[in-house]
Amino acid sequence: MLRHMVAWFALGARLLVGVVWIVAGALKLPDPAASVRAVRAYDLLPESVVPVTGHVLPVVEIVIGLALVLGLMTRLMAVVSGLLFVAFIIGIASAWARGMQIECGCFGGGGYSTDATGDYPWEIARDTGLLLVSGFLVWCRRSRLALDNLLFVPRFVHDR
Amino acid sequence: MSTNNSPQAPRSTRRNALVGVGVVLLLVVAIGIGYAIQSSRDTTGDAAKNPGESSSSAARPTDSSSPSGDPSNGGEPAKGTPAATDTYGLGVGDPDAPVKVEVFEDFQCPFCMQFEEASRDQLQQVAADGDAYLVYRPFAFLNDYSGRALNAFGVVLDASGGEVALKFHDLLFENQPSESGPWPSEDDLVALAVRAGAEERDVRRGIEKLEFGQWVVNGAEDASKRGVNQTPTIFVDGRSVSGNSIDELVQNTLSAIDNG
Repeated sequence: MLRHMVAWFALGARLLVGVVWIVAGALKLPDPAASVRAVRAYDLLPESVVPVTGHVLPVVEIVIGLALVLGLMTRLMAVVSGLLFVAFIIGIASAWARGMQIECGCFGGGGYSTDATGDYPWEIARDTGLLLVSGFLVWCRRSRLALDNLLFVPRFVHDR
Repeated sequence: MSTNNSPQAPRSTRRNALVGVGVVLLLVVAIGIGYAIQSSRDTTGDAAKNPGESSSSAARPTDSSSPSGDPSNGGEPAKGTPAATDTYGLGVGDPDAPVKVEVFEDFQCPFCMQFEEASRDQLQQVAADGDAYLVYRPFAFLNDYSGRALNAFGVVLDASGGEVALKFHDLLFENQPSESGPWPSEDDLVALAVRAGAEERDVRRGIEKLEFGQWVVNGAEDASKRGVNQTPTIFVDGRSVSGNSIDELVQNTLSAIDNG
């Protein structure tokens, strides 16, 4: 019974994190140059990898989001999703610690913002929440209405 | 759970692994295709036509690191005449002045307009006195109008020279549209350029065809690489000037020039 409910919760978690990723990625797609500048503004990565990161990140976000919504390779995608949130939390926290006034660029945009300092705590809280939801998806393994359930034969078929 | 005593287990495990690898490969290929599309859509760094490079150009670029042209030497502008500089800037005053002031600004940015209002006369006076070399370094940061206005600025700088471009720069700020529009049309930009002293036939085509569109894109990248993430940003001899208000920023800029 509990197992049953957890699997439904997992569906909700997949949709929540998945839709956030899709929206975040889709908003950055139209302007790849701006996405590169948003990455550069953090001043954390060497310039040699900044353009690649700016170009690939929105695509990765959309792919992860779609996979989570569809329930495709859910555990792996939840692991990657969690790692990305950890990276983003580190990025925002370090910008905050260095006294930088930049927009996180989480949903497009990026660069300077007058009220950046006021936004950092809320952005970190949001990403931490999404990190926890991703962690829940790694932990609970199975969810309802997932493509995984069609693609993969349950390993414990006799465990009815 | 890791042990499974069903006789079918090895086969279904192998099958699951194959499906898993296949799906992951598919996702990786999708990311690769998406990456290729994104990087091909980003024209940043592509060869651009820069103001001052036209053969008929009235704006001979000056290199701020070397003495500017000799006034007696044909079409070279007299020392101190505003001219294209550093690829993306408009230099005002003597390039050999003891201090170099760079003003990074966006024609759409309201704070930049306030900075202009508060600082223009003093900064241009300092430049005229030979105490500082003032480089206006507009770049497109905020929206589509930022880019169109900057392209028009590039056209005017290229076709009509630094003096007219400086006047156009001032007029663009004095006639700044609201960030929520309505924005000036191409005709409006042409009219403003003419008011600044440009010949309409010299600038209309370039403004309408976004002749310096690639220069605009590359200029945003250049500003980003120099660590400029906000407008206005003021560098005095390459060092960023801070200020919690526009007035403070102006004061700090002027005192940095005095100390420079």
